[in-house]
Amino acid sequence: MQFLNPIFLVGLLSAAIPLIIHLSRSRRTKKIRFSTTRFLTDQFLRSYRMSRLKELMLLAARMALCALFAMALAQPFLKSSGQTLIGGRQNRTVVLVVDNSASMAYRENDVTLLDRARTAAIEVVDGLKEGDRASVVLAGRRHQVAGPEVLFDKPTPEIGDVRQAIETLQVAELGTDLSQAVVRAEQIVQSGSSDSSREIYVLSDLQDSGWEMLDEDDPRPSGADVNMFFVSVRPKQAKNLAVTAVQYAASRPMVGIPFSIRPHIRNHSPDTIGCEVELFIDGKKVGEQRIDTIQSGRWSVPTLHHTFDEGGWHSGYVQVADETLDADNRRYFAFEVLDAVKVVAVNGASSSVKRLDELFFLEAALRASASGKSPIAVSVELPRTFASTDLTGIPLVILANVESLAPQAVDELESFVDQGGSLLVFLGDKVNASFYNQTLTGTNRMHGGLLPGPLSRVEGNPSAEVHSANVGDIDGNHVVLASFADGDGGDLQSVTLKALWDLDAGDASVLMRTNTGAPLLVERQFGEGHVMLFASTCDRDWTNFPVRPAFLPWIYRLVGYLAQEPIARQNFHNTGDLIPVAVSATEGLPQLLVKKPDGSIGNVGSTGDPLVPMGFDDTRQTGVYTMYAPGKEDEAQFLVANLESFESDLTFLDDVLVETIDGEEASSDSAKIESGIKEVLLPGRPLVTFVDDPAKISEAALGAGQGIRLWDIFLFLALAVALFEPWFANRISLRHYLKPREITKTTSMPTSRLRMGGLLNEGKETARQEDAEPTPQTTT
Amino acid sequence: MVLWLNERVRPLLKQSLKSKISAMSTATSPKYKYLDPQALSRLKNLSLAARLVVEGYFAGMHKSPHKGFSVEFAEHREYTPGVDPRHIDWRVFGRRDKLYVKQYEEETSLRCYILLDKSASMGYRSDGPLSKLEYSSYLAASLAYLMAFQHDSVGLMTFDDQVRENVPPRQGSGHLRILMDLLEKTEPGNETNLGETFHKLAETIKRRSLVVIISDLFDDGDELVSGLKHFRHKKHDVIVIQTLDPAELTFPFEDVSRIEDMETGREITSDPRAFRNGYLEELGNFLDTVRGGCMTSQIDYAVAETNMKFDTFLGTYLAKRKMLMI
Repeated sequence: MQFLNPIFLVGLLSAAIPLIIHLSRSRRTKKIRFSTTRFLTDQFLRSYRMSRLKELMLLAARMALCALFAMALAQPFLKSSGQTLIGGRQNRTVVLVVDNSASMAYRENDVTLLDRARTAAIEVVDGLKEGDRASVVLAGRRHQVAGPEVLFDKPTPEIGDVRQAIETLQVAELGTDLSQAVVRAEQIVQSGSSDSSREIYVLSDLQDSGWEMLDEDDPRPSGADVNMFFVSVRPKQAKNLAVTAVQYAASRPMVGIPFSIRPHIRNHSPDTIGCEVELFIDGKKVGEQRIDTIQSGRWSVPTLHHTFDEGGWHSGYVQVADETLDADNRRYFAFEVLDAVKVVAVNGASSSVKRLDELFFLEAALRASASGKSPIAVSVELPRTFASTDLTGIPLVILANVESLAPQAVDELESFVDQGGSLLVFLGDKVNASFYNQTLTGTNRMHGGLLPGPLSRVEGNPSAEVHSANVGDIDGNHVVLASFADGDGGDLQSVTLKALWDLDAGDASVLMRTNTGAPLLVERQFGEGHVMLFASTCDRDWTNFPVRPAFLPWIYRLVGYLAQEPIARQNFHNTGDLIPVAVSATEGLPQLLVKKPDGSIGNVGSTGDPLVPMGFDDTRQTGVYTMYAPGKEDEAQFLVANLESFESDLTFLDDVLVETIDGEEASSDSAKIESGIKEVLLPGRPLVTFVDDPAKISEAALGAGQGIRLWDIFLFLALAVALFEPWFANRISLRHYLKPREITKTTSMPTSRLRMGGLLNEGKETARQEDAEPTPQTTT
Repeated sequence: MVLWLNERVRPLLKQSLKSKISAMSTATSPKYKYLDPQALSRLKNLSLAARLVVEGYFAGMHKSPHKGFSVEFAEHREYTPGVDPRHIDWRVFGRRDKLYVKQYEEETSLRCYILLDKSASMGYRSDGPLSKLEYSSYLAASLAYLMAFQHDSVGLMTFDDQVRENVPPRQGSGHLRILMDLLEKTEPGNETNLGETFHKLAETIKRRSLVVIISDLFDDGDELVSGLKHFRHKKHDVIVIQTLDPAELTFPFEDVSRIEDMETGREITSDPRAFRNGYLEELGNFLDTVRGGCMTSQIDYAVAETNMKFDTFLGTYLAKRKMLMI
């Protein structure tokens, strides 16, 4: 048996108080010479001995009462398996899983959740004694290679170091990865001494999004004797307003072209609120919008615009004001604004009459610019000269109604797209279907051919006066078409088609269809690049699309999307992610430096992962990272790391488990949560305890993990004795210690009769009471 | 004239009586502590009369079984020659035509035996100024004085488990001094054996007498009553004055004590509070037994608590006894 507050064992001395009183009374025994003891009969002596026994029982009850209260205050408990045979104390191996994710910065009553967790962790650490070992695992999400951060690889006996590490813990702008942290903690705790008590304390707000179901096929660390305590430090009622994503209306901004930024503002509060949304570009506030109402649990997507005057890398963020959780109030972004994109367009139906030229409308659209200077430069080539065209630095090649290409040109084109270039194909009456089907599709070609599928025939009649089809469904989730889905980008429904090629899209993505269901715009991944095919023409021969207002934004977005460089599409990361850096086979490992948001410099290094040999993983801060080669700061590339959007969702595991776990067996919410953790989250771990109040962590640890609580029993016994003692004492007093005047009511001879007046012949006395003196009497 | 005598002569007579008592008590006071002049002066108007017929040597205030020619008519007796013809009742002769003479009760002086218990238990004293033996001695001395004052013969016997001193009844102040001397010398003695002692004494006292027993009566109740009835069987007029200490009636002890029996030496260590009920119950039963026995045997019984002034007790008791005799 051990004690949580052994200092109160001093109270056991109070058990001596009744004994001292009893002994002091016994020592006051004095000798009385009395006239006779003939009236003290053996019966009474036996009764007295019985009363003495009862008094001793009463004494024992009083001593027990004092002792029981003292014991209860000392909070005793029985070690479930911790007591050694010789009665010594068993050492403990404790791993503290402390959630340092961004949500732990949530502030309630001027105290952050991490402060609560830290206090509870320190309480656990302070309970450790010499010979115990401890370690700390942080539950902030990091990339898979690194895994959860471990402050002490093995449980250390230096408890002071552990305490200091906990005291200096800070909230990291990371997501939560509680499940992996628990798994890591299990590995660490089982590396401790086998004969020690193994305990894991999970101190977290227990965000629902922070727990990923463990793979049942993964081998679980052996040993079901690990006591696990899930200590919730969650706020009672969470309120949060967050920028959870930033969506661009176009895939890539270009100089002089208005660029739309659409932040997703999520209201995680129980109330409907409004807010101001601000847009900052390169450190300057360039836009602001008021959202009057966002309902609880819903989000709002305002549109903010900015036109870049200069090309190159730019960064910025969208910001809302929220006091409860700062980390998700900003959403950073960075992109390279194109100021000069060279596009090669192969004209398959050129004409001296400009309006009849296949590329007339396309070029006209791409040249259009608000500032008068388009960032897109179209270089027109003919099919026969395309083979000799240098595609270096060209991000996009457009084939416009090309009949066929030379085999060399096809090979170069495949190589170009495979390495990250993009190909945009417009069909038309010049297209040789057999060439397309034989050289641009087929299993004998790289990646199955450039085209998404073979062409079969022309649907509709190009010479007819009426159109045969309209634009039907579009994929609003695609960045190119997103703005058209809600009508902001223009009306595609007015586009009519007199003819289009019928093609088999295969496994390619169909982004646009006609109202008859035929594929109209299809995208396919080809190596590192993309191929898009429009089944009709880019002039007016088969469709009115080039003269419709939606054509200009459509072609801009399409070209901008296809013209962006591969690395540019990957410059958005979550905090904690590993940012991979491409390794050139010829140049070897690049020498790169990374300037972090706080201005400090980090190095790109080896990751230890053969799939991603090089990378930068110190992405704990939200913001813009600048990656550059030494001495080439001008060629720096921007990266951004944002808090993963799930971290803003303050839905907690305990709430989810209470709702989902069948409550027939579990009597309370805590029992439901405990049951849920055991059965759903951590199957096979029977020794799981849920603690809803971090202040009760020690008590819960004793009650469920380290041992069996005994103080409740002691309190109950003390209460029972406290009730018994007065009843018993009263019973003894009634039987033995009544005052004589009370006895007169029950004895056969009232005391008054003992006096002389009472011993007279009562008949005579009554008759003569007027004359009789009140005192001496006689009887005859 | 009568008023003048009442106003002038009675105070002189009182003064004379008081001075007589004072003189006697003053003369004995250095030696006899149990004669308290003030107490005796308060008792002077009281007398201890025998309620039953007793035999005495001298004509006095008590009824004698010997019929004589006194003033109080007793019965008629047929005339026989030689009897003084003055006592012939002529009225009876007129009705019956036979000669009868009036026979009168003979008033005799009282033969009184004071039996004083001097057992060890009589030496008990709780908080009061007197032990039971001292208190009893005061009572005995006062009674002896009163009876000597009314020219009765008074004797004194002290006893514990047997008779220790026996002074036969006599009259006169000289005899009173002997009694006082004996009382002065009386100390608590041994264990009591009242029943047997009373039986012996009942056989010892031959003539009908007034027997005054002053004792705490702490003995077996049935044997005690048997002894008392033996006195009555011998036609004695018996007065039992049971002297008790207040502590014996209330058992007021609180702390755990070693209680030593003053007669047997028996020791009991106990908490008196635990015994109080039982003690009082047993004492009550004992007193009921004694009282019942006395009532059935027409024995005058009184309890004297030592915290009451003995003259108060005695005065009250004698007054009541006198009233009961009317």
